[in-house]
Amino acid sequence: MSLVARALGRRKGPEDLGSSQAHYKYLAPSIALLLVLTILPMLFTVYLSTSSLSYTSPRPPRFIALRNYERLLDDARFLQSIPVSLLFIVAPVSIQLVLGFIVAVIMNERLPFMRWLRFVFVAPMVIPPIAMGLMWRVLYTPHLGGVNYFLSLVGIDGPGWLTEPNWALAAIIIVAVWGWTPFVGLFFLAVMQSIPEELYEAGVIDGATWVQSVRHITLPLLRPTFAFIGIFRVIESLGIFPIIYIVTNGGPATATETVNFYGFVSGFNNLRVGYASAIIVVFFLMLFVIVVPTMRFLLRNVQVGD
Amino acid sequence: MKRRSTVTTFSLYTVGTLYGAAVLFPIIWMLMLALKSQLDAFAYPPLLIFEPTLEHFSAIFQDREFLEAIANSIIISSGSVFFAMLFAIPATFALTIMQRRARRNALLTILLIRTAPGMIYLLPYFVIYSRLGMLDTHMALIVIYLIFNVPLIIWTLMPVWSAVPRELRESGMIDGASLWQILFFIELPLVRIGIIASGIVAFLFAWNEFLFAVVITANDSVTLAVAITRYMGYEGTEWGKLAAAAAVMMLPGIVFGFLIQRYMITGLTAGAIKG
Repeated sequence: MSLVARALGRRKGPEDLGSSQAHYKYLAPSIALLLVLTILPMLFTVYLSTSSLSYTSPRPPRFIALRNYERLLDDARFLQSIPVSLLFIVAPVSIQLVLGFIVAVIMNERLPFMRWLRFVFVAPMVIPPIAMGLMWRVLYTPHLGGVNYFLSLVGIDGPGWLTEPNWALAAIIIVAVWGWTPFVGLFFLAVMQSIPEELYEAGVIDGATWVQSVRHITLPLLRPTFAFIGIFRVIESLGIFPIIYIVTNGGPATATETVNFYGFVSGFNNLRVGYASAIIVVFFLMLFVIVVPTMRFLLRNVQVGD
Repeated sequence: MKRRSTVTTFSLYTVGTLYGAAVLFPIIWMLMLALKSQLDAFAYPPLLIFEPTLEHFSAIFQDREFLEAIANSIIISSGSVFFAMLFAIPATFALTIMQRRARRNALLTILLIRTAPGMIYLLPYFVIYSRLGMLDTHMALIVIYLIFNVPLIIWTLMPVWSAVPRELRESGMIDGASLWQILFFIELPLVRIGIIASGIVAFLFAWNEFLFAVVITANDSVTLAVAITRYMGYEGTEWGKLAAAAAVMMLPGIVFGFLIQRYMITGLTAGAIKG
């Protein structure tokens, strides 16, 4: 590197380098790759959804326009999967945000002996979802697992977690909360640590109690973070799959089937690829309805990568 | 510093401890199951103290399918990290040069692609791969994982790379180095920690992935995530082996997770989220 440049004290901003545009050819391959690998398959899914393609049918696939979509409207199993999908977004994400905030506040207090909490938190973030599902499957299984045993110690007669529809839904939500709250918590913590100490000192001078300073200083400053992380948790929650696959496998009967889970079942268990594609297109539309306003919000309110 | 009453401090400790215990409980329970004999596993009330046995671990390590699955997982995960790096490293370099607004839009788009549920791409890949005769190959999964790993690496690498002083780049320019030379000889060595961390994050993603793996692989390229579920057979689940296999699968995540903990979060909080 040149000492001359230093000596001259010339400071070119990144804008100067950026104005040449030469660097775009370093970004282009990635963008092109991602577009090819994602947009093309999505278009292909739309095409498949208008065909009768089924690997169990001996007849060659033909174009059936919107017939698959018409069938969806009469498919009780599909209609039932929509509220399940919504439940698996609303319930886990709201609990993750609240609980994540609380534990972030605790970690941010830097209490003696509480540092280990950070290390404990890493575990669910790196545990494969499939192993996560297995652990809980074990815990929910009568005799094998501990959940109902520990409930019985405090005098509660534990429910049949995997055999009663409502409890099976709760079982999935619990796993999702267990699995992703740590990430939300550590994320909040990272942002909390960037809040200047002076703000809290000013609060103390004004006579704020601890609860007040959390409520009136920490919480408002974290509002954009809530939005940012909440949005991405919502999108990811829509895609929840391995947990359901392992813990309940959609059951009992079809009680815990989400839209994408039903799409998976129709496509790969029943091999009705055309029909499954129609389900996935609907699933994608659900995603779209959530993502577009969200993206607008993010572009307006959030800075990243600076 | 915030003022805290004794009651507040006490509640913070209580909630923190309870929550920490709740996070650890399932993991410990499963590890105990992996070390219990079949008889002890089903004892009721559950045995908290028992004579540990390694029979399940020795059983899975004598299972050829399981060993092959480990090999497949290693091949596919490292393969996808390697190819993703070829794309992501130059892209991150370009992003650090770009102007603020363009960079933000690019980063958010990339993040969105990474977050989108794989289910929306799954069916077409299955159909295309089956026509190309690529089902059940390592390459099939490596290609799909690029969708997730290229964005993941960019996002994890970005904050590390942003910290490299601009002056280095400028002095390189003045000395007549091309962008390519600046990337390889000046900046790449400086961000190697970031490369390693993001490589680990991406490796773990591929290692953990289940949805595509269960559909695309059948025999020759079955990954660990899929192989494990085979212990949940029709003739009844072999819980001990299942737990032992899950423990083995968790190992890389636990070991590397602690090492790169910092980077997993900074990748997303990069540059602070401001209102």
